[in-house]
Amino acid sequence: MTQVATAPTAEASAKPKHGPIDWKGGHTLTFVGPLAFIAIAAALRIWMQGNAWTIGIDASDPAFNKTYRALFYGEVISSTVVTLWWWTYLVRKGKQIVDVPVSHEVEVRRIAKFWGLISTMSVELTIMAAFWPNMDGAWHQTAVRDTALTPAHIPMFFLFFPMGITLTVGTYLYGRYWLPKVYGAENGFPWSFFLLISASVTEMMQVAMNEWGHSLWITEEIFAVPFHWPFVLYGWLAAGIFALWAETIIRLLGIEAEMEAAGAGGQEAVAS
Amino acid sequence: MASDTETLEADAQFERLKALVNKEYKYIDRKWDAVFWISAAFIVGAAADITMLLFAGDWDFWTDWKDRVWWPILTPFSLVIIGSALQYIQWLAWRFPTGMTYTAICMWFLSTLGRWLQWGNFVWYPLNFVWGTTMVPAGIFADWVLMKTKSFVLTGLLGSAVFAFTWWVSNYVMIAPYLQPAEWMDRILTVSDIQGIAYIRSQTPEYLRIVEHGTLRSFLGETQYVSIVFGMTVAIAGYWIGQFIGRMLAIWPIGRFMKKW
Amino acid sequence: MTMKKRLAVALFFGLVSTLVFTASPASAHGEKSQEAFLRMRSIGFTDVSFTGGQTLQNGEIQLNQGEFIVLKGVAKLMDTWPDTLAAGAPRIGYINIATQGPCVEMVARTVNGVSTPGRIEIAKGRYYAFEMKLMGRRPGRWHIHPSFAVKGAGTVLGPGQWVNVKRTSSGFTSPVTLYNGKTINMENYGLSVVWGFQVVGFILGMIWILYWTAGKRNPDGSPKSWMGGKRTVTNPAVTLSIPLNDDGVAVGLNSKRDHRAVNMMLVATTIFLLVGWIYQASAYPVKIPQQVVQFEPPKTDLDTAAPLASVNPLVADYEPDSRALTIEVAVDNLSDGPIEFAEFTTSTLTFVPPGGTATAPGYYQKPVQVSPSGPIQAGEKNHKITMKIDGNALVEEHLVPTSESQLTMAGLMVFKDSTGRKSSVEIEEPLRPHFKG
Repeated sequence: MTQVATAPTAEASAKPKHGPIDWKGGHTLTFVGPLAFIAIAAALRIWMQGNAWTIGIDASDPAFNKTYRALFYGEVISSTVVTLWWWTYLVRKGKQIVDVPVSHEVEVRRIAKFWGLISTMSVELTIMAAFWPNMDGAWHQTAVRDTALTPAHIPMFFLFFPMGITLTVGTYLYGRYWLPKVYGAENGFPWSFFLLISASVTEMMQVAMNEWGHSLWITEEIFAVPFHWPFVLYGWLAAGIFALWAETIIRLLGIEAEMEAAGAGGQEAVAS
Repeated sequence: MASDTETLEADAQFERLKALVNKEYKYIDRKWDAVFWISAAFIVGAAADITMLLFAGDWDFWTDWKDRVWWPILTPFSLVIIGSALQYIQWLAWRFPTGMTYTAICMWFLSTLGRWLQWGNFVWYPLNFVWGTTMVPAGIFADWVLMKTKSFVLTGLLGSAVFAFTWWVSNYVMIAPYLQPAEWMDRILTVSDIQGIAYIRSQTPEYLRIVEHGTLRSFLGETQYVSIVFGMTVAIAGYWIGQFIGRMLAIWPIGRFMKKW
Repeated sequence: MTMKKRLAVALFFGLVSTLVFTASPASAHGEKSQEAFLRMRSIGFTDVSFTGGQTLQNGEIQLNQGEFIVLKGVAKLMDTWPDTLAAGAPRIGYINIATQGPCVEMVARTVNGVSTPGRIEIAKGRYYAFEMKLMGRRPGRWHIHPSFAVKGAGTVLGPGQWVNVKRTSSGFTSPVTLYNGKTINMENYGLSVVWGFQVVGFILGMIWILYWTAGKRNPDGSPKSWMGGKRTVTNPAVTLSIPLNDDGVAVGLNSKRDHRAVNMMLVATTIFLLVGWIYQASAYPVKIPQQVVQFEPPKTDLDTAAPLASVNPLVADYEPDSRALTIEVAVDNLSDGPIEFAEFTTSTLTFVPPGGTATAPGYYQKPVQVSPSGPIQAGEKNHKITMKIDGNALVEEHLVPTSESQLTMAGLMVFKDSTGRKSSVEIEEPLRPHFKG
């Protein structure tokens, strides 16, 4: 995410060391973003291995407050702070650069970074929708549920679910300001992002129904209960992510066409 | 009959398209392909996994839920949905008959990781009790149907029915060892029943199992097949839910913007 | 802060918190968050004992993997069962243990003397004497409670016991004898079939996907290797210009080679499935569907014997400041001889008068002051007893319902006669906490 913050400054000054479509150039974020989230998930999972079945099993124990509840507050606070910081940065910086014309090479680099953000979203949504739900099922069909803030819920619902919103909205802001020819404000609000952002927001909202359902509707632990199904339906809205790839591929082909139309240099240095 | 001008134009278009297939670009190389396929693998696998988990998860988590009435109906339905969406996207965009198989391998990887890391390593259930489904052979069959028919209507009808049946065959091979009878607690039970009782699930009392109980109309010897055939038709419905996702949620939004919101 | 630094901070937090957030292990497993008035009125646990293994100095039990302990007790489905749970009519139940996953294995279970693998048909007012044989499985220190689950309501826990399972050098197996006399190890039986089939299937799928997405091409556009050498991202330039039901062979998107390749994959997959099917049919010729075992446990003396006493609860006072609970009851002796008050159990706690003994895990046995002490003579009616309980034990177990929607105290009063026969009577009385402003 922070690569996004530093890249525009680098672009404005000296020519970057690596090309716009080099693995170590434009495509770097594709590795760094996902790895960051995998590292956070791994750290939490490793930490839980040591204490979920001792401390995490009893929400009434003071030790639970010092560990899992503290983690909950820490997650909510840190994700709020990171989100507000990143979005504010994107809007401020974006407004400065959105009307500055850039070369094709720069625009391609930005599209590669955009794809890096999409990769990060893809991995983050996976951790949210596959990695933690497996723990959730394993935990809740085994341990007596005694709080809405169970060890399985805390990383899933209160860190990775909010970060889904952070990433989807943040990626839109990047697209709006850094790729104005694709997502500029004058076009309107893209349906692709609307669906993707809706997926992350409605998933967060569904947490409330989930807790209500477990406490007050169906109080036994079947995974396929009706109040879980909206999680799936809302998740399908994330299919909008394919439209992001498509819209930027169309722009890449458009850039190639513009270069061809411009003539000289368009056929040189063909990518292998 | 086409005029000479129209034929010439059609031929020219044909040649243009052929040239486009192999055209080399300055900034578009195979690295974009790699980034796409590997990045998409995560979200596709996750979408398929969560759809299966929350629609048919209980039947997939435990061997003692993999019965012959509910398992063959609910599981292929939940698995075919995302595979169908990917079939549409990948055929429309690239004419690749890969949607189902791609979904299958992505999901298998994530699901297996989840079972091993969370159900096995975290909670300590033996993996022969909590192994997950495979939809890979079923996906191959459904993708083959698409390649041969080139039609979503036919793939929806034949492909998803074949998908459900193939899914059952491939997963039945794996449940077979656990359906053997054994004597335990003074009763004859299957190995899967014993697993379900012996391996403590404190929040999953045995009565929660939604498995075959028998009715006055459970015709001897037919129960299994009635469920498989019904599962095939339910999978057809699931296929079209997947088509909706692919067409309306993945493809329709491309290049479309809201003016007012 | 750069991305790398952020990553480092995240990992650092993860590691530091592992070191910093250590605390003494818990002993409850979810029951303390259930509403007290429901726990007290639903299932009454008495005579809960854990035997087997070695008892350590601190009262915990230790056993090796593969060794056994026996958990016995009596669960009463109380007449005071709340109307809000299972619509007031509990019908199906399951007696189990609540613990941290499959750390011990259930090897045998009887309810009222009958082997009970699965669910039971239950009714209010009935007693269920359970005996569960458990085998040590996962090394570690685990807290095990008996539990009683009721369909449509949930699970109620009884008093628990710490059990330490030690690893054995010889390893752990879980033997089960099949119909044909063969003994299998349930820990890994059939796993090679499952893994083998899944992995080979995965490989077939990967071959299919790699064919379509990977591989290099020769300068003339033909594939260099067995893979298709196709591009992906640039294809929409072509695919969007041809009909949806056109496979693109004419424009060179796909080829006859591709059609041959998918046919070969189909044949390979079909052979794979056939081999698997034939293998399972021959290796496992006898298969039956999953079994549902459900029956009503027979009645025992606990259900049929005449009660020793009847009890009319009069007052249940609670002082929040001192946490003193006072329960006053009037007892009628219904038997032919003198009876004595033996214990008062509510949810997980058992209160024992001075000089008395009860069967309950040590941590959950607490004292109760009874006045007057001494026997209640045969035929005596309206004999008033006052029980004074130090409510700290109740507070710790979250059994004081002062912030819940029903201020009720309930439980089982157990009396015994001169022969040692015990009989329990339910009491339920509105709780009167004396709140101070």
